[in-house]
Amino acid sequence: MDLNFIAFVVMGLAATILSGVMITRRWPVSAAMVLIAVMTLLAGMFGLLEAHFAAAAQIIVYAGAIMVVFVFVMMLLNLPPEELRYGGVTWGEMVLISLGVLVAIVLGTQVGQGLLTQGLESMGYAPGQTPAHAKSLYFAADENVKNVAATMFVDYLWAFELVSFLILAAVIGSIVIAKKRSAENANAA
Amino acid sequence: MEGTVGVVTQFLDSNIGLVAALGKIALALVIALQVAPIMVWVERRQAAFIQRRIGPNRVGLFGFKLFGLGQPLADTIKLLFKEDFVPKQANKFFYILAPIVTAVIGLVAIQGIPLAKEIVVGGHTINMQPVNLNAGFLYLFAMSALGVYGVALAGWSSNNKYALLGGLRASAQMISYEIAMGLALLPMVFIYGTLDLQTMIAAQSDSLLFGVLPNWGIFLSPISFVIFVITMFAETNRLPFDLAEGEAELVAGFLVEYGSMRWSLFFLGEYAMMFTLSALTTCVFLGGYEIPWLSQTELVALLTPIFSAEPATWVASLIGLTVLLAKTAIFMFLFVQARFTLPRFRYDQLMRVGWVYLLPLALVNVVVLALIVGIMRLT
Amino acid sequence: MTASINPYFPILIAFVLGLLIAGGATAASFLLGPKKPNPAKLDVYECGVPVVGTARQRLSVKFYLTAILFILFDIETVFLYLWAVLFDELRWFGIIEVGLFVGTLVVGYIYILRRGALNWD
Repeated sequence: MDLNFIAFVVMGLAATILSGVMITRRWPVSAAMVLIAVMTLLAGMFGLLEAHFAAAAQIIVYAGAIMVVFVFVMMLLNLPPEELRYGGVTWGEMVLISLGVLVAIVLGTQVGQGLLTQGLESMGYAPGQTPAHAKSLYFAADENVKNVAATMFVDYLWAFELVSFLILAAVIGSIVIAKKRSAENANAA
Repeated sequence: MEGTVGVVTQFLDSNIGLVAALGKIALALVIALQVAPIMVWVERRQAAFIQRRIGPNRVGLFGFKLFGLGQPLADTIKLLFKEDFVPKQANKFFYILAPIVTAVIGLVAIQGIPLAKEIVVGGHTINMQPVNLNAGFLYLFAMSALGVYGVALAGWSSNNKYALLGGLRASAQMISYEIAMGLALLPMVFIYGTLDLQTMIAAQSDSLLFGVLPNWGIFLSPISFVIFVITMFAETNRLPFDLAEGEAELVAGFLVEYGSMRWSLFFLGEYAMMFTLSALTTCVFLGGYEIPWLSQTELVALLTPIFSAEPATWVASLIGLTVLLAKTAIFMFLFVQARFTLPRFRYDQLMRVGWVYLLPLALVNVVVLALIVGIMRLT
Repeated sequence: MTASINPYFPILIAFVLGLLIAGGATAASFLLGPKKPNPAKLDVYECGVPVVGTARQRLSVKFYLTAILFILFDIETVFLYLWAVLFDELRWFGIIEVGLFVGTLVVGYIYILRRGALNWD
């Protein structure tokens, strides 16, 4: 049996089990740490699929940046488990859970994936079809980073430029929220 | 007996990739584990010289004093036999985990450094970079990004006001300087056209700049070099950016509740990270393991008549490793020198330097160099 | 012939070895050191002064803001790396494209500066 395949399955199982461990932790910080381990495992799985850029980005952006914010917020609020709400699933949570199950079914089964990619062919985005960018920008399969770059900067040019506006909106939003809070704190103190 | 040798040779031949990987990892680990004790000694001696003291010079090995080089060994033994307790208010699991996280990340990060060019053993070419990824030094960034957690966890799990503040300060500082660090190295990627450190090093010794200077990154993008060295100090929480552990206000920051071997594991990780970043600087800006004006390829060609073809690559790689370590040592010494000459920043100054000065400077540097390289190369 | 194995495999080996070294050092010092706990030793260290309050207090929102801004600029840096590896192939098209991208973010950066979000007081 292929060693890479075994490693992939082992890491996948470990990530699934750790995800289960994550949602059952009492302390938020413990949950965050387990989530970081899950993300590192996912990065390894991307790596085994030879998606080197996704592997690096998974660690740099998810484990290294987004989780830092999670951990910071948990440390800043410092809520002990007693102050958090446990037990009793609300209606909103039920809706979210069923949505999650739906996404898992659609993404995780061949029928679901078929539904998602249906009709894409007429738009020129059939699965496995070569991207639209110029032939001069094709690189060997092991030049993964360059291939990702070519796809992003040529095929998804508009999406890329729109991301900058998304980030801009996020910058402004975060400052508006944080500044409002700190003004309230100043008034309270 | 001959049968055994035959079996061993055959095993080595068919599993050369695995054996070579293990050898390279072991070499990098040995280097990483040596850095901390030697640097502790260098640091104490240098501090003593700057402060007109003598410093540790008594403990030697086997009856020789060796300028006190036995001191780190004695310190390690002492730390090993210290009482190892967990304070009652601490979150036990994460308190124990935090130093391990720091040390492991330091030891794993160093594997991304190319130690030498390549050696040829029995017809197999072995690349001397333990972790040789297609995404290149994005790997080092990823590891340095994970470095935040050791510090943050230590601060939080100690359940001590000073530790929490120190841990938060340290992690906020590390993430603030990471952006400037990434942007500082960005121009080097498009100047050399690769993410792979070894290709980058080869490009630096391929040609000469203006016919005289080696084609080093430091000459091609001096601003990147300066920004990178500054951020390197901040990333490793060293003076003048060490206010996470400022003795005067925070006792020792996130380290306050730590003792014995756990405490030294933090230092092991920190020194390994210092070494990794210094070696990265060397590889990107100072030609890595290449001797200026004499590339490894030329060196192998020179050595081949003296030794035979394969041992020549071994000798050349050994010289390369020595050169890499020597260049890295310059930066390690700079760390020590800065520690005992510069005063500490205030926290608001620190954040200002990172966000208001270094980040825009790095961005402007990227834009200007992109335009220059664009005009030179694309017209 | 080049000797090659999966490039991620060395990371795993190094991780396991690092874990053994760090865990071994912790275990060794746990086994070798003396064990004489007393209440004062196990208490929170605050320079010997009786402990005031707890460490579980809420802290400045500044840290949160720093972390959020870090994510946003970190994503930007990662995108720029993609452009840098393809600099020669994308030519001026890429430079202009990234110029627009960075230009938008500079607007955000100036907003951050003007709102004083980077001032720690």
